[in-house]
Amino acid sequence: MPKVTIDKQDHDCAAGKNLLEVALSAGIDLPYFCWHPEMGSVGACRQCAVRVYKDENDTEGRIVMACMTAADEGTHCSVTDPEATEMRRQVVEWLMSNHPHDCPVCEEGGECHLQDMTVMTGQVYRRHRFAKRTHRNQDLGPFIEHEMNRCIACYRCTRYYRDYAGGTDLNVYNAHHHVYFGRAEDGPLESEFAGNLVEVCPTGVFTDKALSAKYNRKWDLQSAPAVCTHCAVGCNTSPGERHGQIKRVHNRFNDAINRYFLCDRGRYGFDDSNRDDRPRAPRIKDGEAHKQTSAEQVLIDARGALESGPAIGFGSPSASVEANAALQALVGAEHFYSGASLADDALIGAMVDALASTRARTPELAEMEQADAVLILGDDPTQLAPRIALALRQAARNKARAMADAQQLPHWNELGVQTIAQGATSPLFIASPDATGLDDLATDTAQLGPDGIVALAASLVEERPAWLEVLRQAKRPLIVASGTPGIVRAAAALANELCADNDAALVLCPPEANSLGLALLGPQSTQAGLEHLETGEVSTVVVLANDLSRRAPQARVLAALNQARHLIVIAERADATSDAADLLLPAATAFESTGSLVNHAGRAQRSVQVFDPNRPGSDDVIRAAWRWLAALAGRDDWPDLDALIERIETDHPVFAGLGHAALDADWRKGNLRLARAPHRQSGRTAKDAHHTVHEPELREDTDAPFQFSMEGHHGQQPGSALPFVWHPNWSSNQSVFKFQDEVGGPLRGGSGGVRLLEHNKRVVPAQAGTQLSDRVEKPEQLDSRLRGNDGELLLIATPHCFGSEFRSAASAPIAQRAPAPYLALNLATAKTLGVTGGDTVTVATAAGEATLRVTLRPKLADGCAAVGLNLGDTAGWPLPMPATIAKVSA
Amino acid sequence: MTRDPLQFPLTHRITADRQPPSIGDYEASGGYAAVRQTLGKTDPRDVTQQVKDAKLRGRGGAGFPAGMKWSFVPMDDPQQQKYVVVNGDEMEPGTFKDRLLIEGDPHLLIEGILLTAYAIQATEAFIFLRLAYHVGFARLETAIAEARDAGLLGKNILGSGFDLTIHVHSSAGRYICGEETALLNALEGKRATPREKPPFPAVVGAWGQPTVVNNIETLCCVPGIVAHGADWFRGLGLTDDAGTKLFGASGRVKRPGVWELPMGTPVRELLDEHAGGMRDGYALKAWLPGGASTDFLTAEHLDLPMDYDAIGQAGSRMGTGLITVIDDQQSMVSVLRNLEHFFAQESCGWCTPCRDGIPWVEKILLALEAGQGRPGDLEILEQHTRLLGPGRTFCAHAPGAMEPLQSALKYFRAEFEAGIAPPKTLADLPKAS
Repeated sequence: MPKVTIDKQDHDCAAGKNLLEVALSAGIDLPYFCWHPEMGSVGACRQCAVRVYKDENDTEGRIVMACMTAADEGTHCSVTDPEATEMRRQVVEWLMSNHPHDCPVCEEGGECHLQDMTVMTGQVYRRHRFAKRTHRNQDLGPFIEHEMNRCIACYRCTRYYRDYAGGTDLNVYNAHHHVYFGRAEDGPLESEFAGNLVEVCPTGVFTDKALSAKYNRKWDLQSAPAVCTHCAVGCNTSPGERHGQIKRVHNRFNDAINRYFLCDRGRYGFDDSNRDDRPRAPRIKDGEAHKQTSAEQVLIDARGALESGPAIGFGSPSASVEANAALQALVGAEHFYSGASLADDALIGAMVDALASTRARTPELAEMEQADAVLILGDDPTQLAPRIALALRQAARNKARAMADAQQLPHWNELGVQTIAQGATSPLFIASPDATGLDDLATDTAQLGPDGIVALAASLVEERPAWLEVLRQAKRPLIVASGTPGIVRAAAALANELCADNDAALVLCPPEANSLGLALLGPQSTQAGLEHLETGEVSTVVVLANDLSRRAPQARVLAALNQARHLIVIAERADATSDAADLLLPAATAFESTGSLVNHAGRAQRSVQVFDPNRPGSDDVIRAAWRWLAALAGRDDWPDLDALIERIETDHPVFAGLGHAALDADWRKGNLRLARAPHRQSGRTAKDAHHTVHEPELREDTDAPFQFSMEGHHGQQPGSALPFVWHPNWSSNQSVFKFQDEVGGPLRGGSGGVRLLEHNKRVVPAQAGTQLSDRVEKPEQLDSRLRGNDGELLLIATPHCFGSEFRSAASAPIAQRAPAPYLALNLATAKTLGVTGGDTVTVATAAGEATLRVTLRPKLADGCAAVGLNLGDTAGWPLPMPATIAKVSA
Repeated sequence: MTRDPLQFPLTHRITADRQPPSIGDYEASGGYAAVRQTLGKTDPRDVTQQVKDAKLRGRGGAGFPAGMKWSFVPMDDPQQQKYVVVNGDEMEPGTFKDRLLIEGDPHLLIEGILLTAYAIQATEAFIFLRLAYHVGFARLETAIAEARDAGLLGKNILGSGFDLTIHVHSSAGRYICGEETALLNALEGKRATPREKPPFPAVVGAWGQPTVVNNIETLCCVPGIVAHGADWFRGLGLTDDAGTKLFGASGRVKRPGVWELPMGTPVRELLDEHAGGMRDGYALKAWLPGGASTDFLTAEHLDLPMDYDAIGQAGSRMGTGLITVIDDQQSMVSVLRNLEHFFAQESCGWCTPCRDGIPWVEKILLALEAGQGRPGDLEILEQHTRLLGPGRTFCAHAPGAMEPLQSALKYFRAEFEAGIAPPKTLADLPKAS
């Protein structure tokens, strides 16, 4: 462990660091711009000047950039040296010679790294008296505002967008002090990870357009340590609320998962929670319409319904473990159905079996980035679980790091590593039904239908011996699988086989944020639930925060629900299922309630309620779904979430440890709860003055140790309990290092969460997988049948980052980026069918018929046609399934 | 072709009309003899050693020993692709020596490339040429075709088993491409921003492979060294620096031009004899020894020999060795404004001090030129000469830009002070610090 002396103080540091990292880790406020803990050093901004000495006897030394200087054993340097200090102040004065000083109207203000560095360097007087350069701004789409005049040319944006995230449509143009960071022309940024620019940019060039639409200052936001609900990765987020609306979602650091970056679905999918048409008060069916009622009345009616005869419940793979478990407890395990789509039930069933039995590691994002060879089987991760694709991009760069090692070049020397690697990447093989967003990195690809992928994976030694050889030679190969049960089983078998040679890993991508958590409760399949309803024996059905009409063919679902006498819907939003409800109980969204989600690797994480959705002075009766269910069950043994969690741990051994996923509600720092809002928050008594001029009573949170207030503890607290990051002198998200022992390292006190399957693998209920999957026809059987059946194609569903996930699809910024429903064909198939792009066709399957416009996809696997997953009328079809396609004559 | 090749190894074939010799004429006057005696007959390492012994220093401006640069190339893996890259970006203001060589005797460069490539066992070479050098470009293309037809380029050259292909690449035209790593980035089709060193190009250069980057004139010295020996080359210099050098002069001298003279030729001889002295009615006020990015020297430095060490000790750099003469009727403020405009425009925009500092310097110079300077302006300029110094910027561009400024402020401060308008309002007063 090298010892480095900074201003006569000795600091021990990890090997292979640079002086900037060592200084920051030691708690020294050394300003910087272009360096980023995830993107290394490039020496562009020249902000982190220090004086470095040859040895302890050298009194002259020289000025160097700390980020570009290795922290070798015995390095002596000074941060406080007058010339180094002068240089750092001067760099800010240079940057300010073109910066517009528009902080009062700039949306970055108060969370601006440039503001922080300006104050930190003591640059308070501007001597530059000449005209500033100005730029024209671009429309970059629904996510991001562009204000180039504020640019300080640190190059972080293009380095992030291009080098880190693999984007191509953001670039640096022109030269000298006219350098311009933007697109070749106006238009939406194409990358699925563009939103991170908002956090990567040290000033207000790239700001959040969704926040801008209903802007308030960032110090006025109320936040909580939340978990993203838009896929199964479980990225940690910090949503910000003001005036009862979620205004933005920022990244929340978790060293095992998302570290510094989110995907755009996770960042901009929140707006669904803000919809005006969501139910806010209980309603009861009155003829064809609903009428508002009280909580007391609706509960009386609902209890009456539940007592009227056999009751069943449909859970939700997007709702928390607690909500699903409460429903299961209410209706009984025999009558608790998953509520997932028919196809997803089969898929997740296979995944549970695979995860419970695999010998391979099941890594999360940060560990995925360590892979040295990757095989993707199934859908495009860029669209299915985008953040996984971003992690795989980093894994691909391990080749570059290995090449740098050979030249003894430290990994933080980003420019040097790039020069050595010249774009060389680690092996990546992709077998997918279509082109993917990672094809640019792929060593080799194969476009195959689901059965083809299964066949390839099942006998890689014959189908792709070269791939198998590379995977065997690798130290840490990784297989990523999704799509169909057959693919999952073949991938798991292959991963087990590779474990004989090396430290192989298996990543399965369940479809939704809590697919795995729901499956581990051991629900029956949705198919079984619909069949049960169709017998006409069911008196009451309870649907948990789930538009069931999109989970299976809609006509069938609505007809089946109609068979029950009473339909009770606990609803976060207005949809076809809530419209059909006899009794409607308004549920808190994920931002409005605390609950646990289990991610793809079996990590249970607690997402903490951000704000109370019940508006002061209104009739709102919005409650966490589990609270409605507890009230329906008459359970007084679940007064709070921790009690319910204890019950789940008792009833379901596989959930042992769930309580440790986050701090208990009675945890205190000293005797204080933790504040959800910064101490800088303004308008505590004024912001609700249009409802009441009295200071509102502080609502107690019985589910988490946080206060709905700026009051409470601020400062050092366990990493899992950081609602936002802020530190004196560091107002921007850069301050996260103040909560880490080592910059870029884990948060002090840990990021929370419990890897359930690591500890409880042996107690996964034996039936958990099979009872979900055994009622669904296997697509590989479908395919073999198809071969003898001319004129039919296998209709598959292609996931889309924007549009395929229900919650985010209803978010306004995401909706603007979602594709219109389509039918995709490859060129040969289109020719055979006599259609071309733009033509209208009818698609007929056993699940129903849809009219769609044809789009041509040259790389789509032969024998397949594709629709967008969950787009339009085909949502709920149990794909893949055979389809007949016919052109609609004009 | 009457000049003595032993005395004028670089220019003895260059005629007044500057028509290049054909390959036949070139060979008839001793050309390619060094190649014929070396390829397949000498250990490549011996060629490097010979160049080292000859003390050949890089002629592009920095004066780094060429042989030493070559010796950094790892030679242990014969299969490894290596490259020779010729820096022909000659965009240094007041410098026009490489142009003479490629237009007047392109085969000399090709022979130099052949020997260098043989020394490091590179099979491909790229001549990175300034955009404006289209005559030189055409002549190099012709000469390369001649050499290829004569079996001097291509596969198995002269039966030696050694292969070499030379590509001529016409630059898009940026001063920063003269910086060898920015040149490599440009050659690869990337933005012309300098690279971080280490890794050095000799180990990780073009397309990540070991690469020697040398100036045109440097490579043109190599055939003579190989043909006539290191001792001969060292003996050519009048001082410790070896060889001949293309020196030149521009500005209001009677005969601006470029001449091949022994290293160490006194400046006074260069300006008075070869350039014919100042034009009538003009007196010498200052001179830049070798390009815009060198410090000004004055009349009191005219007895210095033109070599790397002597000019360095006088507080400047010999740079490219082509002198820019400033006369007594030129305003130093205007000269500097012109130079700093150039440097500001040619900054690649990568690092802050260079990108935002030089434009500020230019704007202050514009104000001083217009008599609108303010008290404190000179202090800002002086601060820039310190804070845009070596180590504080990413590459040597900004430090180079500050060299003429710092020396002009040293020798001609009164001219700058004259541009400061007397304070008129409170706003003009310097702020107390």
